[in-house]
Amino acid sequence: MWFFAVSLLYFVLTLGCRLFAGYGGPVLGSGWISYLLLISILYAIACLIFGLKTWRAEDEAGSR
Amino acid sequence: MTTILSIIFVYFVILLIIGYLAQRQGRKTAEDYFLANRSIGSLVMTVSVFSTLFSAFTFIALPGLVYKTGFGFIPGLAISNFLFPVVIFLIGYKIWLAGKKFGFITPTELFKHRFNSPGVELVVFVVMVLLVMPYISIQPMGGGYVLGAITQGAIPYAAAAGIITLVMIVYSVMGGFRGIAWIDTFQGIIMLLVSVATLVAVASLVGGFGLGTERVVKELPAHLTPAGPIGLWTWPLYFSWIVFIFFNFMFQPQIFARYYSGRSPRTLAWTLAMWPLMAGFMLLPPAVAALYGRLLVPDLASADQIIPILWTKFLPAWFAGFGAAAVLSALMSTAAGQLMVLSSMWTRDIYVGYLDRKASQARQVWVGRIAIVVLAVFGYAIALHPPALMGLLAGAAFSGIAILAPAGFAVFYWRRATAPAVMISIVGGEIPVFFTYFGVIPKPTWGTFDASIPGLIIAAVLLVVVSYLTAPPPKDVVDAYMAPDMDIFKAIRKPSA
Repeated sequence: MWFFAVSLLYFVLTLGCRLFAGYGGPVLGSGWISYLLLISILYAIACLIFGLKTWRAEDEAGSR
Repeated sequence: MTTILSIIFVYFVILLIIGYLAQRQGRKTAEDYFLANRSIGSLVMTVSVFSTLFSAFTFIALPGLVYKTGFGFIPGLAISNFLFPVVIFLIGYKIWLAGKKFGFITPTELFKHRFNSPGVELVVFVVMVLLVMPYISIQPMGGGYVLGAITQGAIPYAAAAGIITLVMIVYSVMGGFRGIAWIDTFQGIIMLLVSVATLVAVASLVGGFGLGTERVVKELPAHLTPAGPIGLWTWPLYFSWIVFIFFNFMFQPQIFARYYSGRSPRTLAWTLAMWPLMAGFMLLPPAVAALYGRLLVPDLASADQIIPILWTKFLPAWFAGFGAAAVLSALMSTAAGQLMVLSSMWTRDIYVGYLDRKASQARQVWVGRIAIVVLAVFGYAIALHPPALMGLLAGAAFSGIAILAPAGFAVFYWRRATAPAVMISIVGGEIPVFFTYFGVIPKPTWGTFDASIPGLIIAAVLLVVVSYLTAPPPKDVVDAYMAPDMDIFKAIRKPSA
């Protein structure tokens, strides 16, 4: 279930990026875009981990 | 010009060859023609879902919006696109399980069976046809304009739209869903490569990423604010985009065929895992390239043309040729998937359902092929002389599909949902969307929210209220959808020893 919590967190943080627009950051000179990129990369990694783990149990069960 | 035309010609030839190769593997059954015999593997599934969902919007409308209204809606786009893996898990896997268990081929068969009602099937059929048909005509229209612009008129609009339609008909009729899925994969790879290459090339034109970014910060500061230079991206509109893109992606008719066609749940797992990476590489580069492009072409009257103009005016001819192939890929992969699903719905829901209940498998395949030709030619005719009605439907299409979401969720997650409630929910939810896009309800009625937001609220409320006012659905059917073999969460549990 951690993936659903992470997805919710991604949703909240991405909205937060817009709320906190104006704070300094290294990408495109705008904080919110930097943070958006950072959390999107982290979320993409979370999806990779979740995707590759999901349905593996079924595969393992099927191969035994 | 010869270089651009040669690349486009070779591109079309490759599509036809892939269609021919797919035909050689095909068998004459409806399940094989419409779903590739449920044998699609991980790579084809992953890229095919991606390329059919990302239309020409990616290279045309998205950069145009950034050019004109700034970067402010990109986080919204990120939310709605990046959260798609949640949809794949909660909805996609359920659709795959139901397709496997009950042998569904079309999206409407699922709704009809679950709610035990031909009426539900008919309502979903009408909504999907009404809202998908404009897309099928818009794609050759967009292709015609873009090819005309990139070849500087060497291929006139009518000829370009005609060639695109003809190539789509030939490979769809020959290869069926298998051909479309393989071609989608080839097209998706072209789209990704051109997207990233465009950003790298345009960045080099403005002095590299560092200098280009510094110039954007200094020269276009308003483009980096959340609301953008013309203040378009207010919170309500921003929120609307998140919601209707998210729900639209969930229930696009051609997505059902992708889910049904997977060989195993692992194919969906790869799609889920790779989706944010691919969406990021598809959406972000054209958006940033449009910002850099604004530094190079500051006063473009038609903002949608920014990426094609960068290709043709600032980059070598071969780049423009591949750019044209990428735009064609984006629009053809969407249109061919939609053609195939509408063809399957016509064949299974109408022809087999009402006209010839005993139609053989071979006959169903031929009816599907004829339907593809008729639908594609109809789309082309509309592209040549677009009636005002089609423009209005096209406007409503994106929001209109999203309205299916409450009923779609209820299929798998709410036992009490009834057939009358589903029909009333869909029709009631579509009313504000259609009336707003047709000008009957003034847009400001909803503030700066899109009409899909009140539509979704109405659809959800009607679904709940009418369900409790009507008799519960047959227990045996509902039980079949809530049975342990439809449990998706077993996928993330550890296997018992």
